[in-house]
Amino acid sequence: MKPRYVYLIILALGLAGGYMAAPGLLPVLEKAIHGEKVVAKPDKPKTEPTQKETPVVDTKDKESGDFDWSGEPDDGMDRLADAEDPDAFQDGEEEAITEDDDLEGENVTPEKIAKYRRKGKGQGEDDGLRPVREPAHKSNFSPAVWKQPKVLKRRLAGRLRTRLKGVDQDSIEKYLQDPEVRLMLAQWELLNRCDLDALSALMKDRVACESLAPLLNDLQWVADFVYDGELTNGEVALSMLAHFRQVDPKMDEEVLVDGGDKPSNVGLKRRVAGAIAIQFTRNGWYGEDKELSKEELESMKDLGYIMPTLPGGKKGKNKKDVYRAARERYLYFAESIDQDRLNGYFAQLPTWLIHYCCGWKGNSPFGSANTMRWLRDNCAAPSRAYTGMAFQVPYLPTNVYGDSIFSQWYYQPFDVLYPDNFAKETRDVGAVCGGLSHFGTSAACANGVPAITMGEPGHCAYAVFFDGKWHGANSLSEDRHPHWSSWGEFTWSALQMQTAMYMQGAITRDAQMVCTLATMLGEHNNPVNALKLFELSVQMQPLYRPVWDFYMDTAARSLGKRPRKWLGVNEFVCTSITPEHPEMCSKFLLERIYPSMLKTLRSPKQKLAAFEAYFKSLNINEKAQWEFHLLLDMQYQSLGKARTHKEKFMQILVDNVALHPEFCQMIAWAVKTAHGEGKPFAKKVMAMIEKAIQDHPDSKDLISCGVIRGAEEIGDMELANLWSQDYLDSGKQMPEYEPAGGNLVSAGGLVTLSKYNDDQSNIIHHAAALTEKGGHIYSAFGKHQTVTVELPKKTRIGGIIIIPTNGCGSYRTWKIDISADGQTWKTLTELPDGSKEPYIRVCIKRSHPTAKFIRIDSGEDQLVGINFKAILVYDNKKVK
Amino acid sequence: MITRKSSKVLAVVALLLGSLVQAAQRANTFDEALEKAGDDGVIAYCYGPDWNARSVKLLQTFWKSPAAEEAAGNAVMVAVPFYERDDAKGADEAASIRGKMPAPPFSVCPTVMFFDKSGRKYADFQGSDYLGSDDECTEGVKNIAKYIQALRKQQELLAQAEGKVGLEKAKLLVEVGNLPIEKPADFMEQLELADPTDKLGGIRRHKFNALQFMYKQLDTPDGFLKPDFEADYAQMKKDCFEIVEDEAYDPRDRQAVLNLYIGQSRREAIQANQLKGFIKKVNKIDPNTDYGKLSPTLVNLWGNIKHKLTSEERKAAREAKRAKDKEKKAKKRDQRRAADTIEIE
Repeated sequence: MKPRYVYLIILALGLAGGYMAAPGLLPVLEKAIHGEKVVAKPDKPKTEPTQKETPVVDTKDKESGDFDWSGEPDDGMDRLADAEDPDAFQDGEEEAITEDDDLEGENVTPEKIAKYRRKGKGQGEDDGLRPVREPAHKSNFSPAVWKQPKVLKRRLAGRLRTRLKGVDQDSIEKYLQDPEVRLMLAQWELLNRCDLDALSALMKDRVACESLAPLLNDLQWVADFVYDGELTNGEVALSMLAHFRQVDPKMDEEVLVDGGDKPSNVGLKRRVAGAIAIQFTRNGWYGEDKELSKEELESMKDLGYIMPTLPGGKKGKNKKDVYRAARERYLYFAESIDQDRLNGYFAQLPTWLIHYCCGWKGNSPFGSANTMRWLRDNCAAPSRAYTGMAFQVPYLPTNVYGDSIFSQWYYQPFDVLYPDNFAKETRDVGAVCGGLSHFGTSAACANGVPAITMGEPGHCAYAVFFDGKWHGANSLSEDRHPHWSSWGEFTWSALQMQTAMYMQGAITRDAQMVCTLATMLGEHNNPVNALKLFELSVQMQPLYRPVWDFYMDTAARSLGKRPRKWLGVNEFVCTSITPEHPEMCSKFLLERIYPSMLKTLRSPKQKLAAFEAYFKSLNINEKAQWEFHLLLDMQYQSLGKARTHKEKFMQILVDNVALHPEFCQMIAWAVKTAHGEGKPFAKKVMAMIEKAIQDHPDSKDLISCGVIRGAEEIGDMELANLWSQDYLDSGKQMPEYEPAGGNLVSAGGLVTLSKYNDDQSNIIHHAAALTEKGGHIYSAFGKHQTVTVELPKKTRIGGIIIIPTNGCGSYRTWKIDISADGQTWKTLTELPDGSKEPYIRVCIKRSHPTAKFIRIDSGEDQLVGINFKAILVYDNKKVK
Repeated sequence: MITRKSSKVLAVVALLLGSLVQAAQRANTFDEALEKAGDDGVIAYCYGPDWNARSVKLLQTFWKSPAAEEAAGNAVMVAVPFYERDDAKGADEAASIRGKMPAPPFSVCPTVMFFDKSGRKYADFQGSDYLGSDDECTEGVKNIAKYIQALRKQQELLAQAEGKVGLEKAKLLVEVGNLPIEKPADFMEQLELADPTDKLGGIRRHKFNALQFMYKQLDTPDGFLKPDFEADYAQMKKDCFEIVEDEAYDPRDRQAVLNLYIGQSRREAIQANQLKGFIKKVNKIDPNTDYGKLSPTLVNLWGNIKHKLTSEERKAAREAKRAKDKEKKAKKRDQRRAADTIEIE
């Protein structure tokens, strides 16, 4: 018997002994070993590990399988968990890892990570505006090899493990310097994202297989393909690509622009093809086309196209042009590249940005090839000018025939003049915000400038990428939700984080490759080292959200009930993500960290320390426009009932917001929550806030804004009045007016708006209590806005004066309602439409109604933001 | 002594020189072009050296072509680069080439801009729709000639108008207003002085805004229709046909106004042939505009709807109308009552 087998047996016995000694460890280990989610790409079938491949783990290391996040040395020795994989030997080609000890882990320290990052920057590839350059390397797998993807995947895993000498950072760094390793990792990742049976069926098609093999053997292409976008249903994407290659035999031709003076377009069409295939597959923009007629089928033949089929579909029977939209998109970009018609900087874009240009809305009429061609030829502009491109389209809610944009008739009469050119039709006929923003986005994308449409409350905007960041266009709010994204969530914060991540191109690519390696080891029953590598990956690139998910799926089990480790992870997440991406971090804490960590942390002190890590890391000058209250609620509720801890929490919150008053919404939350705890607690919190203002006078306006917003939400008239006083009438110029009745009764009244203005940090937009000069009222923009005035006491109304800030012209179909109890309302009067007067004066001559509440309603159909300089209510008594 | 042969040579030289004087000149900067500019002004070709390869290509195949020079008449031609990035090669010199030139409306590159000798921009065009898709930009060459001719005509008409007063002057000014280039800054002022009662219709033609007219008719200043909007068809017809029948208005405006009436009246039970008649009238006003071209489509869409009501439908319509009238009366009564107690200023 060879010595290494003896050694393995000894290790196995050791494990058994360890198990006997620590039976509580088994469930954790078993779960980790089986590690279904370690390898999870949620919608992909995974290879089930067999029982005989139970790994060998050194049970002496009680905290096995994870790094010390604090950077302290870990003296535990992680044994190779992966025993020989019989699969790797089946073909007699590969040699498995022979020395288990080679994979001893070494700690990752912040210093090492920093060193790694510096190194990445030194390569000059981290500015994010250039593609990540892989070493020129190709594998020599013949088409026949690609026909057996299952076998190939096993072989790749075997080879990768053979070359792996350790999972410490230095070993991995060396490991990733080998181009062949990089290629194998990318190829394994690709196969892992495919249904291998369907891929096998696809590769049995000789034409498809021969056209794809050169791409799949090329390191640069495969790595860009799998790592620069969210590849799902890889077999469909590859089938689409095979079709693109068939319709464009010149895909691989290198086009040198402008006699070689400019950067060449080497591999550009391939990258474009990959981006389109990934995005059209991921978004399901394929397969749903109508059946082609005989004539159409004939014309396809004449063009030399082979009718594409979905992987696994029966050839020859398909009459649906399943990849029509994707093919037209590809051919549009291929033609534009060949003719050098795109923006001059398109060729230099990294692949992840090419996804935004080429993968945009395959199901929109703005994305048809003809529309994009027209936009390219008629709307070519420098990148930054696309932020204004939308305004070429006239904003016309009603067309010349009196049909509303919200009806099907708006464009219908004009369709005949603009066959398959929706952009031109929109420019000539008109649109509202959605059409304008789609026009601007499509114009940018058609010219090779990345852009996306976004939803905002009651509005559609868009963003254009230039000068290394996304710029909002036709935008009214910072509460933005991109309509799509090349991966992950459709939020502005997610887009920002994804952009920041890809801007660090080289290190992100390495982190992704480490993640692949971890996934592969997990799939081959090496959960301990898989976990270590996931940890290494997140430490290398904490902004890469998918790897966090993989890591947490594994770590949540293995970290178990070890508070110190959890606090370390929490600290790392907070310090590495919060400063630039507070929303993403809060979501991540809420979804992935807190559910497990809070069960583990028993002491409120530990919890407070964990929460403080988040607040202390706040750095960016960004308003809290997201649902931050979910995070605060969870933190607060986890502290239990003891007031002392809750007080401490409030103190931490107030102190940190005072340093970053942009987050003044959190003060509103504190005011509201403290109110729910009773008066003494609320008083203490208010004292903390006042103290914070004393300590940080520069933050006074924003903190006051937070207090007033809190008061608005809880309806505390006294508090709102108190904190509004300094802001209500400053610099206000009133027109001359006659009182509308007897005595002014509204001073000291509270104003409630149906929807508060989105601007959370401008106090003048929230200081809504009424004074003798009438206060200041500023609502959100929208339909059916109401302003409700609660008078200090019930009064017989003698008259009302409303002074809009910019005159009465923009108010139509508005009216005044009154109520004695705030529940039952009666219309007092409708107000004149679009009056040219600077203010409205309503005098009640007789039968004066009694009311405590006065409500001004902007009307159901009126899209308006209420902006009043004053509301003045008078009684019917003689002036005192 | 001048021989017969040499006189022939001289004649040819003179002809050549003459043609050179007539040909467009080139300048290296915009300011230089303005200095050199004669009556035909300056034509600037704006292109993007670092970001728009097509505009660079067209610099040779279109802008520097003899056809473009010929079309430009005596205008001074200047090519002006606009860079996307300040660090691009050559970007430093761009500012000095642009000089006093205003930034082009960058909806597309290349853009051709036209300036008179005072530096006032009087026209521009851009994009394949106006340049043409071919490398020689056949359409663009035609457009250059068109705008140069229009400028010459404008100058000629303004010169003629100079010595005239009253309607005679107004007639010339109306012609100026109809040219496909921007009008002089004081155009409306001069026209109002010359024809204060608008006998020739030039003032109402140039002041008319079809969109504003439409929104007024639809009672929607922001363009969003009210769900309960009810057109007063009789009044709308009167207002619309005042413009439709007045040939002083721009044909496209007349068509737009008629379209508004067609769009609204099709919702009411009017006779199909009547609707068809209106639609055909749009085409008759000017068959070459987009509205004119749309007529057959609209006849198909709306012109064949049969509005012959059954007796039940007529009865239901009558009852609905009665109910509506009743509601209106009640509302007016309430308003009257409210007015007795509430005074709104």
